[in-house]
Order: sequence, then C-alpha cells, then structure tokens
Amino acid sequence: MKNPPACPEEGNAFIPVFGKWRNAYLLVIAFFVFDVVLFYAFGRYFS
Amino acid sequence: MSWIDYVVLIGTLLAIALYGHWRTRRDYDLGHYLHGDETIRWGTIGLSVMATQASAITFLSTPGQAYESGLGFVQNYFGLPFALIVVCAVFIPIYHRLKVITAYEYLGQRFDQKTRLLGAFLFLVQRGLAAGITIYAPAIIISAILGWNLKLTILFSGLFVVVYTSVGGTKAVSITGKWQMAVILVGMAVAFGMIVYRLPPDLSFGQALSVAGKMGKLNPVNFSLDLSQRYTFWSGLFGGFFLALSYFGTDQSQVQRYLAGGSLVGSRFGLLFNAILKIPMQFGILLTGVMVFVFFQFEKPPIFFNQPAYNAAAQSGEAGKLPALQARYDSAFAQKQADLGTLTAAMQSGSAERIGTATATVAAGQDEIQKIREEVKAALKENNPKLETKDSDYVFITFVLKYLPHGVIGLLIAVIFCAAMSSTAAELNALGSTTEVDFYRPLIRPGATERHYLSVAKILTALWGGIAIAFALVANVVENLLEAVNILGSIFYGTILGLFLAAFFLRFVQGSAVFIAALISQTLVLVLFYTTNIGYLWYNVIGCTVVCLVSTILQKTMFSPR
Repeated sequence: MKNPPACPEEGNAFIPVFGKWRNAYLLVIAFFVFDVVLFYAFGRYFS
Repeated sequence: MSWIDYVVLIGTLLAIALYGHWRTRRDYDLGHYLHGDETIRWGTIGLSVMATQASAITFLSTPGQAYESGLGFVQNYFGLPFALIVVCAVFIPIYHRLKVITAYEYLGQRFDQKTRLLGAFLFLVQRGLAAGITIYAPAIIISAILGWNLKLTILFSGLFVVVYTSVGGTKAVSITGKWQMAVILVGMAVAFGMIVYRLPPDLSFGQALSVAGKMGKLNPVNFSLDLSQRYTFWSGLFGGFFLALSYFGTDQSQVQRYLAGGSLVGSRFGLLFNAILKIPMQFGILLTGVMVFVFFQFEKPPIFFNQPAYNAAAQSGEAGKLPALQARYDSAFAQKQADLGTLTAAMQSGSAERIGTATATVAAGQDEIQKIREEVKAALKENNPKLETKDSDYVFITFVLKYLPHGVIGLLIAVIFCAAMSSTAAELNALGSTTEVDFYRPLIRPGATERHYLSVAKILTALWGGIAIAFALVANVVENLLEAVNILGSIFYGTILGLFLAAFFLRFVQGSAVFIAALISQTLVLVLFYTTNIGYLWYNVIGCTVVCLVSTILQKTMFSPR
C-alpha cells in the first residue's frame, strides 16, 4: 500500500500564531540552537 | 513526614484522580475510551505528552545524576526537537489520515499482518517491562527512606492508577496527566527556590554556580567523538534523535496522547510545545541536582545516601570498617569545608592564581571524599552482597526530607507520585489498547460489538496493570533506575523505528523483507548489548539502520519480483 495523501488540514493551510508549519519548525530549531549556545557559554563562564 | 505532608500528598493525588473521573463520567463508548474527544485541546496534549515522558524516575534519578556527574545528561535530549519535527511533518498526518487507534495498525495496512503483530509485540515486551520499573522505581526509594512497607507502597500507587486508567481510558489519562504535570512543574520550581534559599547566606547564586563549575559539575556540552562516552553532543543529537523519533513516533503510550484530541493542529502544537520546552525543563532539573551538590559542600551529607541500608549495616554487629571510615569521612569533610572557604575568598578577590590553587586543593579534597565513599560501598557490599550500592537515586529525596519544610515535603512526594502515575497510566492505556486492537480484534474475536470491545479494553488495561504490579513486586533492578528504563527502550526502539521508517520512506520494500530484517536487527542489538560496551543510545541508530539496509537488500534480492 502506498502512503496516503496528506490529510485535509495539511499543506499550506493557515495556522494560528505561526502562519505556516514551516515557521513553527524553524522556531523550534532556533530555540535548540539558542539552548546549545547558552549551555555552552554557561559551562565555560562558570568553569 | 508530618500530618501536613500527608494531607498535601493524599489531597493532591485524590483531587487529580477524582477530577479525571468526573470529567469522563459520561463517556461510555469505545471511541472515547480509546481516542478521547475534541474537548482535549493542544495544551492538554502538550502537558500530557510531557507528563507521560517524565516518570518518577526523572525526578528521583536526574538530580542524583547531576549530583554525581554534572549537567552532561541534558545532551541526551538534543535530538528530541528534530525528532518531534519529523513526527509532526511525517508521522502525524498519516496517522490522522488513516484514523488509526494504534501506530501498529499502520504497519498492518502498509505491510502485512505479521509485521503489524511483530511491531506490536516488541512494543508490548519493552513497555510491559518498563511499566513494572515505572511503578517499582519510586516505591523502592520512597519506602526505604520513609520506612514504608515496599509491597504496600507498590500496591497503593499501582492500584490507584489501574483503577482510574481502566475505568476512564484515554481521556482520563490525558486530563489527569495535564494536572499531574502542572503539580510537577510547580513542585520542582519550589524545590529549586528552596535549595537556593538554603545555601549559605554569604554565598551568592553566582558564586554557588562558580563553585559547581570549579568542581566540574557545569559541563552541559561535550563535543568529544569518543563512542564509549555515554553523553556527548553527537550521541545526544544522533542517538537521541533516533530514540526520540522512535519513542514519540512509534510508542503507543505517546501516540495515543497526541492523537487524543482528534485534530492535526492540536497534535502538532502539543508536540512542538514539548520540542521547545523539554530541553530547558531537563536542564532545570539537572541544575537542581547541581545546586543540591553545592548545598552539600557546605552541609555535611550522609556518607552513603541510602541511610536506612547504611544504618542497618552499622548496627548489625558486622559493621567492620564502617566506624573508621566514618571518622575519616568526617575529618576529610571538615578539611574540605576549610578549603572551600579559601576558594570562595579567592573568588571574591578575583585573583586567578589564588583561585587556581584553591580549586586544586578543593578537587583533591573531593577526590579523597569520593575515595572514602567507594570504600564504604565496598564494605557495605561485603556485609550484604545483594545491596545496591549506587546511591545517587537517594540524593534528592534525602535533601527534600531532611532540609525542606513540612508541606513542601508533601508537595514533592506528590510530585514523585504524580510523575509515576502519569507515566504508568499512559503505559497501561497503551498496553491495553494495543492488545485489544492489534491482537484481540483480528486474532481472537473479529466482528464483535463495540460494547464487547469496550469491556475487553478495560479488562486488558486492568490485566496489564496487574502484570506491571506483579513485576514491580518481584523486581530487583540494578544500576541507575533512569538508565535502566532508557537502556531497555533503546534495545527495542531501533528495530521498531526501522519498521516505521521503512514503511514511510522505502516504498518498494514489502512485508516479508522488512519482517526478516526486523528479526535480524533485534537479534544483532541483543548480541551487541550482551557483548560490547558501546553507549546505549547507539542501539537506536544501529537497530534502525539495520532494518532499513537489510530490508532493502532482501527486497532487491530474495523478494525481488521476477
């Protein structure tokens, strides 16, 4: 069986806060990078 | 514990369970029981997903882990945001489109019945064992420290969950999970504040962090490429990615949480909420453990944190070297306190040379204390060969009971029970649903009424609860409890994830090829587990890669259409 097509809510539908899902995913990645940089600097500063 | 603590503890647990029961009192049909309904919003999904993952072990073991080896464990979660993005983008739309109840139904539709049953079976094995550990882990520690009867503690916490989970189903689990997580977050914030408040008055928060840093506890990011190191940036990013992808994408205890609302937007928002908050939350819990470490630099900690076990050995008449070791420990701690005074004075002066000298002296004192603790553990082991001498799981609870005020103690014990109950409830809910949907319906009683399936789902949930409680009653888990659960998951998750990734991305692969590949992969991971010492996070990568590679080769050769 092939994978089914995307469900109706998928695709380019407008979503609250972020507009598009891609923006939400980019925000998650930005938070991750911020966390790692912050933790690294934190560790270096206090060691 | 005083009566105030018992009121806070029992009041919190009962209030949440009764609220969950009240909210689901009119839900009598199978759909509500297995799916939940649209009243479950993304916030509830997000918090219940978080509560499912955060077991009691997280709050007992993680601060102890930070006490022993610093913040490095946070790297374990570095792959999680990326995994959740993949789950949101790839897994969730398909689950919603096919309207599956369990993730393994999808394997049946994509491949065949035997592959579906294999995926469901691997899940049942690992999650069934993990459910036992989830009940056992907090019970063994709390009963030891508080002097409660272990078996009664297991029965109390286990039966409580079994009742509200088997009666209320998915919706009850999600609603209670949300409030349990709220109690957990408030409790941990209060604990952190209290620890900082209990630090010596002349030691600022910044100086406390500097002391921790100088003693090697603030090391959250390690870019080493050494495969044998358990926690590095790379193992966390890659191994953690596969572990989280498998856990969130294919573990029914999580899939059932985010499919509960019935809306794709709600499911995705709930998971993205976790993708952003999980790493800072784990960092906060680990930092709490580091602060406990700093606190115990200025306040003498017990020589062995499992005090009831130590006292029993010391009073048994076969104490042997323990009194002499205790005297050496007292003397070494007094010396280290003096050295710490020198270090804090040096930090205030800002002289790099003085700080360097004082840090080396404190580190030598800490090494001496660690050496004495190892000798104590050896002596205790000699006295009682069955004793678990790794005492880091007892660090946080020791601090809570000895140094926090009444009321807060009750709240933090409630945090531990809430965490245990939220994870156990989700596990039992998933185990019951998977057994009913993937085994009972197709193999034992196809075509029965919804009413019949509802009764069976409730009975199976209660049955799995009974099995988990029975396992907890006879369990004797060694090593760190948090790691025990993660290692157990990693052994099976790689193969399960491989099945799903082959289903999503290797469209030419068919059922028989992937089924054989999964058997080979699982065998290989078990062999590696018993014969090598590679970091367990890599099992996820290996298991998944082997399934994808071998299924491709088999499909192109043995099962190639002529």
